Amino acid sequence: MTGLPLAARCALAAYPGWWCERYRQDQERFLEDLASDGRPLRRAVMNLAAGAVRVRLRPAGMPQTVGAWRDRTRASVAWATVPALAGLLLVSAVEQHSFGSSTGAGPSTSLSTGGRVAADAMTAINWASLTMILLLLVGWGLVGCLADRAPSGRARKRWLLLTVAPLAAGVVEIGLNLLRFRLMPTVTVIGRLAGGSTAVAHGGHPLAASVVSVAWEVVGVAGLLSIFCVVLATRSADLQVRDLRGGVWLSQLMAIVLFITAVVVVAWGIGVTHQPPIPRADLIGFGPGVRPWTGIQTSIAAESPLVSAGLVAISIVTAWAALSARRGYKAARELLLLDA
Amino acid sequence: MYGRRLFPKPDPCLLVLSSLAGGAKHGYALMKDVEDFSGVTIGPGTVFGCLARLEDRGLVEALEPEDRRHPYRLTAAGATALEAQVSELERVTSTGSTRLEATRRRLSEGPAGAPA
Repeated sequence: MTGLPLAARCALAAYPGWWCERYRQDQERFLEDLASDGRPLRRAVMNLAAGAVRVRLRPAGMPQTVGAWRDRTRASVAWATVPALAGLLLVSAVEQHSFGSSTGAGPSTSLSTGGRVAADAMTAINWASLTMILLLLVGWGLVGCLADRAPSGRARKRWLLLTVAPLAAGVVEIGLNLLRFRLMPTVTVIGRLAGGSTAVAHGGHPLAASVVSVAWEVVGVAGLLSIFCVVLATRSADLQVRDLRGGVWLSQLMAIVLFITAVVVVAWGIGVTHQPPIPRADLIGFGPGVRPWTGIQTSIAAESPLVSAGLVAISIVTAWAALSARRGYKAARELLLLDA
Repeated sequence: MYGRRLFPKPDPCLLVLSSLAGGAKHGYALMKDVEDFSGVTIGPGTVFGCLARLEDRGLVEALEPEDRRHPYRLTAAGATALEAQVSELERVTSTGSTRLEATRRRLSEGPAGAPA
């Protein structure tokens, strides 16, 4: 085993646990025999990796035990949640940047049909991304609430505590955001959005606003990272089938929201590429720029197919994971009843 | 002539069953045997994917491991399934052969209505 290249070991590790128990040693010996015959391992490793995907998608030969189906459900819930974080990044990258501005086109700009579709889609994207954030932050808290409260082990208690972390981060984030806007010296654009002609400046506390802004960013990142921690902690938390009830609901809701988001992002992408360039003077807000944490330019028309394709791919993964979680949960429950 | 094969490769599970019909084998020996008799190379992901499916349906079974690898052998149900599959294929191939022979004869005689 130790003599196998890293790629081969990674491909072998991609198989689910029940599979490894049965076939891991055979597969390792297969690769060793292949290498000792002087045959190249590259194709075999690729075939192994494809096999791992097939086994995860269609678990033929999986033992009909509660534990195996519970683990599959747990993995599916993770797959429905973690890629959604990448989806959120993609959505945030396009959010409010329809026409090369951080806020959009001014009220006097005449938009083409494509531009109007993009503008409407952007409103839907804003709502969809808000729903996604809420689901991600609140969802795991709900999973923890619906879990069996009977105490059993430190790892489980740690997991229950961790499920509250994203929600707590979300609440703090809202508070910090409100505080930030109160403290921030800014030029309001509301006057122009409402059809007025002048922007109005108002004072604030720049230093305090900067500190709160940094805290806001840190809490936001910590909140998203805590979702990874919750998902990782599920592996050692000795979860029971009943504990996954909330996770299955979360997966299904996430799949629906991501599907809707993908549809509106595709509509936005089509619309924005059909809108002729808008003169800089007609744009309102902070002007074109780059979101430093995504590196995606705000004038994103050229990248819209890539963003749309990424989101569609993520929504397919989430939909599959949600279906798999539902099926796995049902199978585990049935087996549990049979055992009883 | 065409970018893609006109006829797909034979089903790997059928190849695995056919190989095991010749006696119990472990994964690598099975792959080499399939390569020898069919010219098709099947990788470890495919071999063990098929073995898992076949084992799940009771068509093959794992024997005690030898040198850290399990040999697999055909069960009675596996032999019946292979027999059914092979006879179906034989029906197709024999019909194809008979009709091909007739077509060859017709072609060698020349097109209908044309001088031979």
